Amino acid sequence: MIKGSQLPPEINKLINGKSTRVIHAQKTDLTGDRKFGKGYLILTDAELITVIGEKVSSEIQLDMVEQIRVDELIGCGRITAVTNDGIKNLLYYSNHLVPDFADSVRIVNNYLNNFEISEKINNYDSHCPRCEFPLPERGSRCPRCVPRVKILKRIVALTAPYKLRVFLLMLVTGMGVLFQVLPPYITKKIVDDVIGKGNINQIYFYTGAMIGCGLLYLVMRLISIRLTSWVGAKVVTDLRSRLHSVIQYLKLSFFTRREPGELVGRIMHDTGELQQFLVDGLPFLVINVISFIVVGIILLKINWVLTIFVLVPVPALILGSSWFWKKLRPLFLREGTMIGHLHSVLGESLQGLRVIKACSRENHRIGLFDSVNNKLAETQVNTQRVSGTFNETMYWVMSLGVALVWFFASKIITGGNSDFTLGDLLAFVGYIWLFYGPLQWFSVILNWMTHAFSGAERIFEILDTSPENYESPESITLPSIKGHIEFRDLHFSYERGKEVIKGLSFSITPGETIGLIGRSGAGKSTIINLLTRFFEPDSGEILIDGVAIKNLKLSQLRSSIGLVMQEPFLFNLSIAENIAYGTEHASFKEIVEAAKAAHAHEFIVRKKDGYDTLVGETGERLSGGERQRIAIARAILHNPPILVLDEATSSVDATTEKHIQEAINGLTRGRTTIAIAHRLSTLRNAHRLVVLSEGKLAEIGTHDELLEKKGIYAELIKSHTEMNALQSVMWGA
Amino acid sequence: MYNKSVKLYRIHDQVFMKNDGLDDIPVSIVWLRPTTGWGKEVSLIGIHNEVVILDCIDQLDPDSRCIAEEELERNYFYIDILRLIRTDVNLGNRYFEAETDRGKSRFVVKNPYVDIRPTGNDGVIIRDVVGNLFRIKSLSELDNWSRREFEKVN
Repeated sequence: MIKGSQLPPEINKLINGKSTRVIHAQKTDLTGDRKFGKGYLILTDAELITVIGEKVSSEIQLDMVEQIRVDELIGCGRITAVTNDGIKNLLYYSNHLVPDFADSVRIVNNYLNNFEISEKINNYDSHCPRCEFPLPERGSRCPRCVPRVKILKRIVALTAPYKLRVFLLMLVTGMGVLFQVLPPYITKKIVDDVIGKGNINQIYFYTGAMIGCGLLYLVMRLISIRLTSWVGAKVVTDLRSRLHSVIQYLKLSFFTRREPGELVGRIMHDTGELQQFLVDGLPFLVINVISFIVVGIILLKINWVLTIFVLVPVPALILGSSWFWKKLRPLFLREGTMIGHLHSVLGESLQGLRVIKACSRENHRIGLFDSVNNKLAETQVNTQRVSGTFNETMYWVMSLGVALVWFFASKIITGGNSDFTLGDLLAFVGYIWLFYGPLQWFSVILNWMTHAFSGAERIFEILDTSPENYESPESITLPSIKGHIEFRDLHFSYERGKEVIKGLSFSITPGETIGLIGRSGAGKSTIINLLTRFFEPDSGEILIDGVAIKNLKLSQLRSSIGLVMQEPFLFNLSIAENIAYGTEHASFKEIVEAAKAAHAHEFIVRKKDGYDTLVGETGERLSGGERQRIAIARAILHNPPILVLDEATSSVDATTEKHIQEAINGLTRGRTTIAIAHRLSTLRNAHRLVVLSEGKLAEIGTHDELLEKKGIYAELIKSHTEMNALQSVMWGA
Repeated sequence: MYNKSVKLYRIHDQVFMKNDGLDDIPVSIVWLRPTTGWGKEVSLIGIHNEVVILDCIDQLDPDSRCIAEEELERNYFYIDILRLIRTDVNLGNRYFEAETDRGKSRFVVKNPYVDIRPTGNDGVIIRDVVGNLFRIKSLSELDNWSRREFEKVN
């Protein structure tokens, strides 16, 4: 929202001549012909004005406007005004502004209805104020502009619990560098003192020193490898555990726009990347930085003039690395994408094997897999080609520096400069390779860093997400829950600007069974999501026994509601453990009683392992009806005062439905029950029926009352009856 | 030649389909395959149900076709990319800066595997993080620079 005073002066000038006070203004990013440009929707106390560019494109007296509304088009949105004179097109906006215009519509309509000035809900930036690129998620930090040093600091901070080992690691790494830089110096001594001056006795000492340096370097490296592996594994183990536990407490809204596979990738793959960086990249970086500095100083000390020649190829090395890196990076990325694609095709091929066979599409799948596989191979060949060219070219560039040193050093030595000996030259050449090495591999380290940082950023995004508030100091615990539920002017949208519940109000008395009815997308399951506080309403509230659920302790709220879903989720445990899930201290006798009440006992005892039968991943070893009855047994054992049945019988056959319905009848007795079902016959025992239409309460009453009304419910019953009659004819035939 | 049973007219902002002898039906018009079949089949949808499918809007008489074209033009907001100025990858997000038929634009794509889809005739549709739709009508007709920039992030 833009306050009147914040409107650009030229727009203010346009408005000032027309009315007295700007109530609300919202900027758009599309012009009338939908080109990118500026425009405004402005609500004043007398008119609704649209400005496109720097011209007023429409102005409507407020007493002419009934309401304004959003038209969701494909790829953009449009605001129209419903006036006494028909519908008027006001302006267009791109999808960046969907939440903003949803707010504007609410604010303008509130003002039109009762001259109430409401607040804007959505205040998050859609674009990064620094680089001006859109943010991947509103209000999040701009990934482009997060300082890499900050991420590095956080990565290093992960090693804090193991600081003694990290200190030891640094010490060992430093000593390793020392033993790496000594051999060229020993070479100089052998050439100058042993060969040059004929002190052959010293060869034993120098040879021993050289072997000793190599051995000590080896020991240091071995200790370093052990330490880095240990620290890396520990850090990543801690991180995976933290991520898993953080995910358990995140709000469900976090998961709505994320695929489970993506999150599994973050926990497993991204932490893996981080581990590689901690085990290989970070020590490599430290060693190379130290040896680059130390060797640079040694080169300068031996001969600063020759050091200048050593530096000649350095710009070419740096520029070359960066040029090659630019070539390599997209190839690495494409390789990653192709691997992901190949995994996806393979996963589909395995999961959809039955459908593939049933449709005789084996050859098509083979062709699809081969095509992606070949593309991946092509990318990998390209990557290897570019990477190989890079390495060899860099080696050649470095050899130029060495050739220059040989050329000028030979001139210095033969020119009679006694300060610079043949031994110095050989040591110098030895050091050059140690000097160039880190330069060449900085690009590789950059690669590791990029991978690790992108992984780390995704990991930190999860760690930094605020969890559900289970135990806020203001929350209260009710001594017992009777089950009176009241929905009070509830508004909710999964995506800002696309409201799915639009001002819903009704109440349910304790022990009453309510049937929620409506077409797909009417908002039935959303109500359950709000009742269980999986999502929070935009406005309005839900009360249980007169207390707003946002003030109840979440643990008490959730333990008071038993959920039986359309697709019950079973864990890969035994049947008994699945029934007792959430009621840890239940005795075996109680489990059996619950199974009996759920009409599950009969099929359980017929299984070879009875209650010890493992149900398989997601309960795949059981039929749909068996899974459902175990879920009902779980709810019975849980014994909640409120029960939610979300399409509990929709995916089973008529006989199984009968068993489940019997189980449900036992379960609902004495509990407040909300049942959602497409098969209206399953709601025959409901005390009242609530009919939803487009997120609003359309009808409420008993079966007979609603039939008499001849509204949506009566129509639904009619079409169901027709459908059933049709099915009877078909079955009969 | 024309599908005589389908006649469209517009009142204010709403398109109606004539329904001989009965109340005319308010309809919205959508492509059946907006990504891979742009310009092919369209569906005329009434308040609750689809009213008719047309193989092509050329089947309509000129006046109705004109209304259908306007309606489709209004319902779909595709931004045609003329030139890619630069592209970049940062922490897994693909960043595009492009010259389009609607002006210069900067946008971000999260997952190229899902959000960059071939149209089947050398073109691609790119869906950015908020659902804006960008279109490259023909990759081979892009200039070399733009093609290279596209390759960098795809």
